[in-house]
Amino acid sequence: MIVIISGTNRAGSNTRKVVARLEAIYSALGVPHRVLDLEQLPPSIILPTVYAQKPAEFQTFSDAVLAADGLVVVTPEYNGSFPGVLKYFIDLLPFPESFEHRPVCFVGLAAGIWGALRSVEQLQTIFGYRNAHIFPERVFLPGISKMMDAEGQFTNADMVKRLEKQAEGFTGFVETLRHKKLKP
Amino acid sequence: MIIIISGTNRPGSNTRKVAAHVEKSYATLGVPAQVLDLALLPAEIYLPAAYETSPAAFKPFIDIMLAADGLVVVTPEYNGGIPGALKYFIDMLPFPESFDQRPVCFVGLAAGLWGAMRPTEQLQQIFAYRNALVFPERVFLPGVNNLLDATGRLQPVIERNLLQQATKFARFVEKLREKQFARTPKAAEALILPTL
Repeated sequence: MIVIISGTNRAGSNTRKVVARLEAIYSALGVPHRVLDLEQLPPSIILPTVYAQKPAEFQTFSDAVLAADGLVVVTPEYNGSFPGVLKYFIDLLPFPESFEHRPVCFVGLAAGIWGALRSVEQLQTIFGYRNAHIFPERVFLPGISKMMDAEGQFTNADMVKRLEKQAEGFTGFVETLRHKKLKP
Repeated sequence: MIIIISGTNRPGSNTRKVAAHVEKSYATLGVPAQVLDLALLPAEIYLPAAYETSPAAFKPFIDIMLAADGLVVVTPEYNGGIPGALKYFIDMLPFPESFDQRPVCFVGLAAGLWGAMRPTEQLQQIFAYRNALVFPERVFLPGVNNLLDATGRLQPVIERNLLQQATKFARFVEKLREKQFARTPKAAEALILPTL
């Protein structure tokens, strides 16, 4: 199972729309997948006590990560970096088992011209620190608002192709590592 | 007023203890300074609607930030990066006025041997993106558990480093304001700092 993480809790985000496109792409490939939408995180996770004791509602999120064959992290860029909520989510996951030897790949999107390059490279540092298997081919979606129509469909066919190519490559990467027993 | 941001919401954190020492350094210098503790963030900021409409309970935090002559960010290292809670706090602040032309300096602490260099450098990148005036001398506290004793007392050598940073940062803030490089803090009549 591939788990696609929608990396912000902002209501009605473009990130969630891109995630919906990725769902369609993995479905077309016949690869089992599910979405973990940070907008659905329980508000109780902001309480300072969560570091010592996770709220029961958080369990479904951590279980999904622990059961994932691979993770696709879809991130926007906030203040020149990944969203705080995405890092907060990471901080609440159990370690090292959440990311150690778990394949991960990245999709960045932003309104501006850099397409969340900063967010993605900072996330690569964090996942690298946690010994994840990082899939090298990233996809960046700059100028996202001009690239999608009101229904959240891409108007730029090239972007869809890039996402498809990444999904195919990442699926193979996940399979290969599983057979080599390099992942949990 | 210098605002010292205690960069995690984890209760009883070493970060909060170090922030108290930073506060003491400024007190020694006679420079007004106060701690803003992220453990006091209101739960409402966590709701998905908070990006569009900032919750009323968050307003005191914004007012304090906008009234700051300078910021000292005290950060631990979580998962090789900035605490999510600290970045979330940044994401909830109004921009560009929160950081644009506002002097900022950094203190990093960690149990391990890098002393939160990674989160500090990530923060420098973020504050630079927002056009803050980044003070170059950072203080790192590696192996923080050996530097703080059970009563929260800090090794004298670190206290000296913090005092030295505070001395120079206070001067940096002063000079930049004089020459009008730094933003004039928003006048705040009745600033109420959230406390425990």
